[in-house]
Amino acid sequence: MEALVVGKPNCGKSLFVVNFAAYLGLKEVRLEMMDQDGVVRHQKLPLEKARRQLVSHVAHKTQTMQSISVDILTGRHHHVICLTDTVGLTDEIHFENHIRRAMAMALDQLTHTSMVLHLIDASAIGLARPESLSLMDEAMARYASTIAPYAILANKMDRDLAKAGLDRVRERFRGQAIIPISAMTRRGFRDVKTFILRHWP
Amino acid sequence: MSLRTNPSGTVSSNPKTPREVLYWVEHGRISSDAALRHLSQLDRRSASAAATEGKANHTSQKDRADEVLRQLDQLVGLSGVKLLVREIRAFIEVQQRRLDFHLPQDTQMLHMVFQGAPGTGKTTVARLLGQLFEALGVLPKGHLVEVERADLVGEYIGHTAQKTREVIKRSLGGIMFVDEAYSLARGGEKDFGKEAIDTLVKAMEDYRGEFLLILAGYPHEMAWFMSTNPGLLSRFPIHLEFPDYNAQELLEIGRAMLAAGQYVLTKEAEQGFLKHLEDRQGNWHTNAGNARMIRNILEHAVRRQAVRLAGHLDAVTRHDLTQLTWADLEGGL
Repeated sequence: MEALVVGKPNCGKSLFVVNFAAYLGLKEVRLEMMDQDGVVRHQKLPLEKARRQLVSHVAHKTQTMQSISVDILTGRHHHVICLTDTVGLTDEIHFENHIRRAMAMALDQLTHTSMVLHLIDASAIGLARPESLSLMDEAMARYASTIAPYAILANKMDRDLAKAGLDRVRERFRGQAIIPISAMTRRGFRDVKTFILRHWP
Repeated sequence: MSLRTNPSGTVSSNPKTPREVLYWVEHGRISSDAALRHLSQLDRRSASAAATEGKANHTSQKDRADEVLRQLDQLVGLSGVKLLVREIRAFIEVQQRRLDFHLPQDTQMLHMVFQGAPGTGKTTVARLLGQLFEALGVLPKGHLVEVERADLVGEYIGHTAQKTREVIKRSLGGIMFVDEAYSLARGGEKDFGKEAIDTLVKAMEDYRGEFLLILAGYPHEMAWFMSTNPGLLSRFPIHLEFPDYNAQELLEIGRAMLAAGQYVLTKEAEQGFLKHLEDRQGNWHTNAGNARMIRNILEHAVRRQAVRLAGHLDAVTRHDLTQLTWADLEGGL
């Protein structure tokens, strides 16, 4: 089963993927990267190094599709979940060729994934920042909720403005599953795990 | 994966296939939010192609609701309950129809209180209601989570709310059935049961329409329970009475129970049994158990029949194996 992590640039997708994998008990990240020519590469990284290498403050750090496979143990059952990190989707048409191509790949993956985790930066809502809420998020909510189990993860709840932001998100996306999390402090990860297991196909 | 070739090759105002949408994104003609909108539109178009399939699905939904009602009708007695369930069903269907005409929906709370002595069918009806609501699309899952005081009330301060919330989480999408709910308020001022009630009342607002709460218990105790918390009575608009069964109904229940195991009462046994039930009617102990009592009596009779037949097993016919005589019954009464 694959969970596709989507969202605006800089809303914390990569950090979420790495930290959530660590939360699920992963010691070493085995990355499967599909670059824009469709070539798949494998890479092994210790967690700390993965965090340093994959996560950055600059938007559009992730430009390939990166998957991490993790075992979830519930009782005696093994569930293997594939967390797939994608490039940040923007409202405007991006000027760089390869980023546009990466976006197309992310959207392509979206059409046949088995679960969508949509990250929203709850602390930047209403601000004029690339990661704040926009048309893309609404279009995503409308589309993704019809094709697969879909949850909105309101990220960066450790920040000051996030609480008000979460209320705005709840208002705007009424009827969707909304889970407040912090990819940094790992708050709410248990709820995400519950959500994933509950919607196991 | 290759997204480099334009499938249509022509310039049109809207992409025709998902692949074309992706191609447009890649070549900077549309942004990702527009792409998502196009994708969902294309999705809907393919969805309308499968509309006939959806229609079939709809009728099967109606069939399932009918099936549940049929099962309900098979229960003996309970005429008030059956009437109310039909009311609720009609209400829900009319609401869905109203939605088709863009009329405002009445968001009625369907939380319920079941009052009745033990063994009058409260749990059975709750389970059927879960299936019915699932069939009608009111509850996504329609499962029944049966809880009692021990599942809700914790051992130390703060534990109760946590425990209760966990149970609520489990019952989202279905029905939470609190048996002997009055016991939550029994312990007095300092009891943790109050905290459980408060958490439940709060959850009813927080998860409006996501789960259904049914409180069940004996009539006297429930009336007292509802008076302990001012918010309770108004939050449970539907009160269902499960009256005690009369002798005739009890006999019918017994017959149905036996029929499931291919047993039959002889004529003599039936008459004796009915007379026994009629004599005692109104004088049962309040917690005698109604249908459950009948089950116990009949199970005892089946055991006595086995003893009677075990002596001459070789000469036993199929007919003998199915008959319960008055002698079998009498010993258990």
